[in-house]
Amino acid sequence: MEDINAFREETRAWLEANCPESQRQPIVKEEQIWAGKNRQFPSEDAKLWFERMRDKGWTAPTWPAEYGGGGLSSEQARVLEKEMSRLGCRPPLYDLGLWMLGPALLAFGSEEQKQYHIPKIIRGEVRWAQGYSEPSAGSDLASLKTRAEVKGDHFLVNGTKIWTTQADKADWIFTLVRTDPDVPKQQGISFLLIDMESEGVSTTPIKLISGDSEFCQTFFDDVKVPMDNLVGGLHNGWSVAKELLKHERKLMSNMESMVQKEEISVVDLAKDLIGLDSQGKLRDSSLRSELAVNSMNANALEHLGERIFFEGKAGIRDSVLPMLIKVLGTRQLQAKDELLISILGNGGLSFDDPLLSPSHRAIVSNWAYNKAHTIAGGTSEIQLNIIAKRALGMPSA
Amino acid sequence: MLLNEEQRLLQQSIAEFLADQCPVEDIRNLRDEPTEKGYREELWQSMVELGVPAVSIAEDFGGLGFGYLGLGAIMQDMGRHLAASPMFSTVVWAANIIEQCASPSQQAEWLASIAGGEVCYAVAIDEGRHFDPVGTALSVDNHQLNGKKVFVLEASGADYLLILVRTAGQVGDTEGLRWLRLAVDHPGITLQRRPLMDGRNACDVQFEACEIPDEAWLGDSPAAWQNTQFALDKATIVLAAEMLGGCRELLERTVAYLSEREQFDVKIGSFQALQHRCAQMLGQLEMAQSSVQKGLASIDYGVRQLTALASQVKYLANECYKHISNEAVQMHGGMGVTDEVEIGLFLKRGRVCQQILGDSSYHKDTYAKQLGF
Repeated sequence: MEDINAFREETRAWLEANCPESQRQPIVKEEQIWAGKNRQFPSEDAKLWFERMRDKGWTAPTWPAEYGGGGLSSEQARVLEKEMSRLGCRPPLYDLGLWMLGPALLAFGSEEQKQYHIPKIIRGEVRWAQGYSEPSAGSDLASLKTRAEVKGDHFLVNGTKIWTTQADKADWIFTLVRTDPDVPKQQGISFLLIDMESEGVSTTPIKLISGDSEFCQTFFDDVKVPMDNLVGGLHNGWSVAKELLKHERKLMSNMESMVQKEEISVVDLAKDLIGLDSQGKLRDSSLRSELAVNSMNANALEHLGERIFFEGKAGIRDSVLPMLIKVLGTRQLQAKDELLISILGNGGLSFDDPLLSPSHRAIVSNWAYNKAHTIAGGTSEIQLNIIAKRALGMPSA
Repeated sequence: MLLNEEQRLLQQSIAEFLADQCPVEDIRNLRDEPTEKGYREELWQSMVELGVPAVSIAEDFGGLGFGYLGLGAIMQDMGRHLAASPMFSTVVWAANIIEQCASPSQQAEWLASIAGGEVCYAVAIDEGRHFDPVGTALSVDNHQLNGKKVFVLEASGADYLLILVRTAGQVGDTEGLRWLRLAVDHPGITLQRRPLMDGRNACDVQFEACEIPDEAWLGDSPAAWQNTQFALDKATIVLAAEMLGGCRELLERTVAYLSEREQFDVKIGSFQALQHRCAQMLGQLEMAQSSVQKGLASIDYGVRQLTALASQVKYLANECYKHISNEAVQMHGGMGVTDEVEIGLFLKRGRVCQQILGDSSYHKDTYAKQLGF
């Protein structure tokens, strides 16, 4: 208890001293620092903040210090997170390697793979993309067809991956590929790391309803991949993927807090645009009621997160609560988006009207963009199937 | 937000006791053959012997000081069994008001007798159809009380009433409200018993030329409204814990039924339409449960600003009980609407609980006010 308080004091003091004032402002999309060979810093302050955090290993607070991570306990990491959010510190680094691949690599990777890839991820030197879904393998991911044939010292990869997030900017991609087409579908899959500069890899962006093109389709034509890039053993990719999926689901529900920082609070927007009456109540009583419900649900989700944290700390491993987070968190995020654009009224109907303020335009494009959250990383419907079967033990058909 | 070892052991022993001594069908029997007190005296006496009324009362007052997480766990189990008892009115509601608003000597005397299970209390706040404590108009003139309180839960089995009255200000003002403690058999008090759909009862309490001695007032001077609000907030959070016990029991019973009932040659629980609705219920329940745990833990931590959280907790519990009880009836099909199956008993308890200490409209309004919109 005393130790953690001392850590809190130290952390607070360090952040106060090392996080530049400009890096305590709400993050905007354009200023996020994405990892990669071609990473760019929007300002000197941003670069300084990133480097200071990187050098402490706090871009990956809980990863082992031997690979350059922070080596913090989960309790310390939570303190760091709380202290960062108290000061409003921006996340120092954005990367799928950090959020998803890293934890799976630490669990399944060979020592050589860890030593090669983990430090690069922590230091933000490589930007990772994910190659899971295919045009005909979405919710039924295990039916994927991208083929990796063993050819002596390398795999020969042919096929295509879709929803490869920002693959056009990525240096490497982690993929699920079929290495054995003759066994039940989950058993013939392997987890393969592919350098995007390999010959035969090409990527096309996909334009979304929000006007963004963050997702891509990536094609593999006779791509040669060294055998050393196989993670977790041949035909064992499904186990690796399941571990990784856990982190993706956590990530999707974390998106809310990451996105929240760019947004105006719903209540403030309503006060500003709808106004209060003489008793201090919002002029629109029906909206007032909806806002109260939305805010209460947001708090309840936070409380659920705290409960999961305390359960983890108490060593409870069979909790069903983590299964609920994604479906509940993404639903809440979308409910908030709907409230935000309804408050904007006819001033919330354009992505590109120059007369709208940038913050209002951001609300509109987030509203459209966030529709992806209940689909990506396991649709809400798939989540509900899992909850019914694993948490409630309901019968299979 | 989780129970400590002591609290877990306590909760387990109470759960076993209730499973053994308090079947849900008790409440049907109480409804069909009401007892004078509105609950089964032997059950309450056994709970007293187990020390249940002392659980949350401070050790200084003869309690066990197990804290609110412990109390909440017990109330949750009582909710699972629809256990009728004076527990909520006396130990949760009245004891909190005494703790917050009575003088030190009153506290010492009255709380010890509650902790020992010697006396039962009922709390009289409502005057109209909806919970509205600051709307209290009942007042004392010339040391005399005349008027009426309604929806006074468990009053028929109580020894004392705690009565909220206005001593100053206008209806709607938070200041000028004060508590009175009168014996139920005090001259001038008449109880009219009103049966409720959940098998329990509430009374209308009529006061006619009821003489108020000085020692009936809680505290030497009126306590600030915040003290009453704090007592009500705590009671609200604990009530929500009881409600979620009912919700959890309903969800478990429903899932069990769907996993056993066959139609079209399959278990109907294998239908995705039903699975998704059950999964949604679990999500709603665990969100509400998490806020209840947060509320109970906050009380144990000594947080005094609880109004927004209490309103959130009660709103979530209200909606949860309403939704899950409706779904449970529907998913039990024809059996769900029979008196034989116990699901309907939970449905009815849920609706009564919804009105106690404020319905969803009240709590949305309170929450919004607390957050400045």
